[in-house]
Amino acid sequence: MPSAEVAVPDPIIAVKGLSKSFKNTRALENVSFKVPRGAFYGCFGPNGAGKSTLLRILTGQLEPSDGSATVLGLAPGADALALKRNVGIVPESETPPSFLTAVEYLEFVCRLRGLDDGEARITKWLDFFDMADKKDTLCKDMSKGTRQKIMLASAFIHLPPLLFLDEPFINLDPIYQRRVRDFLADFVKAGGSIFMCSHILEIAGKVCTDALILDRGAVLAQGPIASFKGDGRDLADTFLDMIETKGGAPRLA
Amino acid sequence: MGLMMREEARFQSNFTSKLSFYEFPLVLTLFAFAAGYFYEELIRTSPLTQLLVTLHFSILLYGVSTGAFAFLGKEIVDRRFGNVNFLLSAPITQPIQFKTTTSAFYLKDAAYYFAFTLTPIAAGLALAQPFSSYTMPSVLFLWLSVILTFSFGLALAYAFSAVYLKSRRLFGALAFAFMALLAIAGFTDLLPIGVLIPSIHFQLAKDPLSLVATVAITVALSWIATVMVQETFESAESEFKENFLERARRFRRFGRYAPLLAKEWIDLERSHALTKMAFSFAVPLVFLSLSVWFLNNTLGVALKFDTVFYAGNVGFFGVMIYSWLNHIDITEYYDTLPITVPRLIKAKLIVFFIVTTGITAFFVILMAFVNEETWKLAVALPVAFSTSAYTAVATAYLTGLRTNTALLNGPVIARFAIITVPPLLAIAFLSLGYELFPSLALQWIGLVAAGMALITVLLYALIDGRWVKATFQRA
Repeated sequence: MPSAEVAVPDPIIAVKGLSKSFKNTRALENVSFKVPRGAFYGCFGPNGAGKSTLLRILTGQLEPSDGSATVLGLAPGADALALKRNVGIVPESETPPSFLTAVEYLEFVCRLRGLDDGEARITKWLDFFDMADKKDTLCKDMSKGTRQKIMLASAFIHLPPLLFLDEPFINLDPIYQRRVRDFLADFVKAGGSIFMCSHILEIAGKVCTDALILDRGAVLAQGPIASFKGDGRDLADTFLDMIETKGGAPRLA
Repeated sequence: MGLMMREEARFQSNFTSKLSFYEFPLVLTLFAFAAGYFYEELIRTSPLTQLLVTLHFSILLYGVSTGAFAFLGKEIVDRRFGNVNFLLSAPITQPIQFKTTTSAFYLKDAAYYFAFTLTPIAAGLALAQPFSSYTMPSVLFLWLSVILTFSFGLALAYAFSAVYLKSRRLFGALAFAFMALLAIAGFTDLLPIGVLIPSIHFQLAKDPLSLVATVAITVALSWIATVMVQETFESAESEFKENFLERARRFRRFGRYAPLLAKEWIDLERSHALTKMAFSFAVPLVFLSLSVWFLNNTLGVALKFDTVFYAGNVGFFGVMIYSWLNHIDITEYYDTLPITVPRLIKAKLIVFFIVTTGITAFFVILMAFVNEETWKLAVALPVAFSTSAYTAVATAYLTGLRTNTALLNGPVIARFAIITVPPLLAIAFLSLGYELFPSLALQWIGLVAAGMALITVLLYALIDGRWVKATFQRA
């Protein structure tokens, strides 16, 4: 069961009129949405749509140029430390520290998060990812998939009420994609919430309860996942149609 | 190579702005102009030969500290630059050798430093020439000779880093041999320093043979290093027994910093950075010791460079060690954890003090024995520690976790100079005046050291406010 130091509000994430500019680039434009508590919220969009920028703002790594956001009732920029104590974050690229072993990095994370039962938690996640034989290997010498497993384990280990996942399935083989997918589904059933950016729409379509589609920094569509499916069409079909028609710009097939 | 130059400019300007990047050479020009403008006063206090030798030693160290190019391929393969990638990594996917990209990177860096560091210094001196007694040809001669010295330092470090990757034992032997030769050149008359570093002889004696010798040695070292550059890197998995909890226990007196210190210390050990850092800290100190001894004993300089003068300079080298600490590994993953940039900066400062305190004390005590001034240690040691803490904390305050990049930024280097140069100069001048008015000099040295200690505490406290909004992203 997910646990938190703060009361978990509903909606768990509320974003209003959020915009972000980098020099001459408008990365996000007047983005508004709410993530209900207990949702598996998918954020989709083509490359450069602003998904990772949005995730970085919501996790306190970037300040918005305009608009506001609250996550777990906290302001991500001002309360970044409190926020990070209560969420799990998996970044877009897997980058655990080079010179710690898998088990040492997880110990480090447990210490930083003040978890007393670190050993049991570490054993659980090493078993989950079948990493017993890799526990003493330096992170820099691991494959991309193994590094990704460590980043996932470090985000899940404290079982927070909210997970931010940027391409969590990337570099994982189908066995672990399914295992992680099942864990995330159970996590939501147990009361947790997830905000996930992904291009793997086949998996996202099966697990997400709600979706937000971004294109060039603006919201193209949002709503329950069921509204993106139907008439024999899945999330991927609807997504492609939307981007090619509503997005307006010509794209290569 | 042209593309690499553009890549370098874009990478460096990424820290702030394109304009700030180009302000760095401008700041150097201004400093050099000031030095040229006050040339008459400078040579009144320090003879020209002494100034030139000090300048060449500094430039040589600068070259050595930037030249370990043979490590780059392995760092790229180990992805130690995090999300940042360079053309240097092209051999991983493209039909080109690491030898080719590394040598292009080497030439690019040399050209970069010539254009953005050495030439602006010469330009500043040239601009001040109408106001001083030196001639324009002497500026051009200095420009050429410092380029030679810098290139020699760069090639030396390139060759040594290539040897290190092939055989650490051979590296140790060669490094020891080079240091021994330096010691012989510095402390005896058996080997003139100009033979070991011919560009210094070229500067002092204007001997064309020294010019040819420097170019020949530099080209030879570069060629040897390039030939030795590795094309493949050990991809075997390194395994280590769990050591984090034991380390964290050892650092438990540091409270909430304990896990960070444990992690940083393990990084130092496993990346072999501890050895490299100790070496790169010790080499400049050996150079400094030799130059102080050399100036005191061989040039007939009237001024006495005592142990307190040396102690003040020792502290200044802290910049390099702090910079090393920021270069060992990526930091992006910290963005996923409940930790702030100021906390990591402070953890690195604690590691800095742990690493440098012993080495600093050792060299100051050694110099006191060499100068037969052990009675000055009561002053020299506090001066060394306060200067070291002051310089490191000022560097951390100004540059955060991006020291290498930030110190190539005009406004940052200007602020760095404003903060660090006046107290260091004060210590230097006061120590030189010790022979004339010992009691007064001692009082003022004590005051300057106490002032530095106070500002150190203040800057340490201000790190929080300055860096609290920063993220761990490298670029």
